[in-house]
Amino acid sequence: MSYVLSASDNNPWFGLQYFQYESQRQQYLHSAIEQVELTVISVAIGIVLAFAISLVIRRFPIAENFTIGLMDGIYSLPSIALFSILLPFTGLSLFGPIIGLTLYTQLILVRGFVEGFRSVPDSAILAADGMGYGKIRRIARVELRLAMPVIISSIRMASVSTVAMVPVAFILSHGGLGEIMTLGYANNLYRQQVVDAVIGMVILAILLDLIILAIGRNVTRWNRQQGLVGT
Amino acid sequence: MSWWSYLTSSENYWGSDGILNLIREHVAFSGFALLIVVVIALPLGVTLGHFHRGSVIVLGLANLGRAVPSFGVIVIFAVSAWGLNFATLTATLVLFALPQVLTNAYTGVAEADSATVQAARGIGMGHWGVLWRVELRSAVPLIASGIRSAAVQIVAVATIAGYAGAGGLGQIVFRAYASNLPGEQVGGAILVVALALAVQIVLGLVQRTVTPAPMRRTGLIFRNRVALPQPAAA
Repeated sequence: MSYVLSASDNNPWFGLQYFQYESQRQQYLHSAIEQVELTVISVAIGIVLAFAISLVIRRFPIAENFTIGLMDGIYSLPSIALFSILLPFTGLSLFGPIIGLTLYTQLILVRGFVEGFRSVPDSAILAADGMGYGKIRRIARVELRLAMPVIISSIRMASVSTVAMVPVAFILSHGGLGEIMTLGYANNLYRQQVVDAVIGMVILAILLDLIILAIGRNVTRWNRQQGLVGT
Repeated sequence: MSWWSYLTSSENYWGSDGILNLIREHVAFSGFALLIVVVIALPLGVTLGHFHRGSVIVLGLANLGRAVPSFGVIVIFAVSAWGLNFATLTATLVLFALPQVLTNAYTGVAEADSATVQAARGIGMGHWGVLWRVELRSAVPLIASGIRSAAVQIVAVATIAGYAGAGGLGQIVFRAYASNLPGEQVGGAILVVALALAVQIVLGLVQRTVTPAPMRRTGLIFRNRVALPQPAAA
């Protein structure tokens, strides 16, 4: 059962009353997991897509201005509008939020990959060529690794902003903790529920950022010892 | 009602809840917030950039802003004792657009070509001369692009504020959502997109116009250095 309070009654900002009911704990947990799922899926698809797009840009540099411009345009669309426009096509399935969120990651991620590849020193590429690496092996084993610091920082940025964007997808019935927040608002402006949800979102964003940072440290262990490429 | 018939029936455009009035409202509070952002962030960013001070705080602020959902801040204000009124709405909009202008003004001034700055000092320019005649001029494209992304950001956050009854174009989307009218919801969303693109294009032209001609072609190089804005979206 949920509380019925109004803003004028006893409606404190902080506290854990919201969590004293099993059903609400379950709901909160479920929403938090949904928020993480949506973020991880969208960023993962976004990474694959951005990698592919960055390879195309490498091959056809002329495409860079156009592609980045297009993504800049997508990036500037308010999410609430994009999700609403997706509604007739995707209904309330998970595709709506995932398509929207993935599109938003692209400006940051494609730029990360392109800049990352650009940060690879020519000498390393020449050395790989000299050692007889083919093109694919050179990209996979040399360039991608040297580009990693820049790519990882763009992935961190994309993940954090995706977590912050998920709540708006409540309009597609998949808003993660945004659902809890809007329910709290609708439930007579129940402050604790709103604040607990917002704090949860910020904690998720910070945790995700730290996890990717740790993974990035691990992947680029050489970087700390040799300082080959600056972050 | 389909989105097309919603957008093409003239009776939807007039009256206090009509499209035209909501656009006016949206532009009015967005414009006011942008003005405040520029008044606060521009002098601050330029000053800090000139003395190369406070980059940790400036960039940290931008990163912190990314993790906080604007939707959350709006709802928190809406359940506060003040409610979401003109003042709290403006505060929210300013909060989320300030980092864009601040970081770009800082970066633009701080990263003005150091050889040119040295040369200007060498021929006897003081702080003001260097700032006004060298650093500010080379920072113009970055500052303009910061203002542009701040404006886009404000328009987007202002749309979400429609959830808590702030008016503007968000009102159409959220009211249609609440009364389950998908046609109106999509129609409202199309208007929001149109407004966002219009702001983007108009300020893009302004940016081009204020950029000194020789720097226009290097615009892209500058763009790559711009600290990324928070998505318009969140």
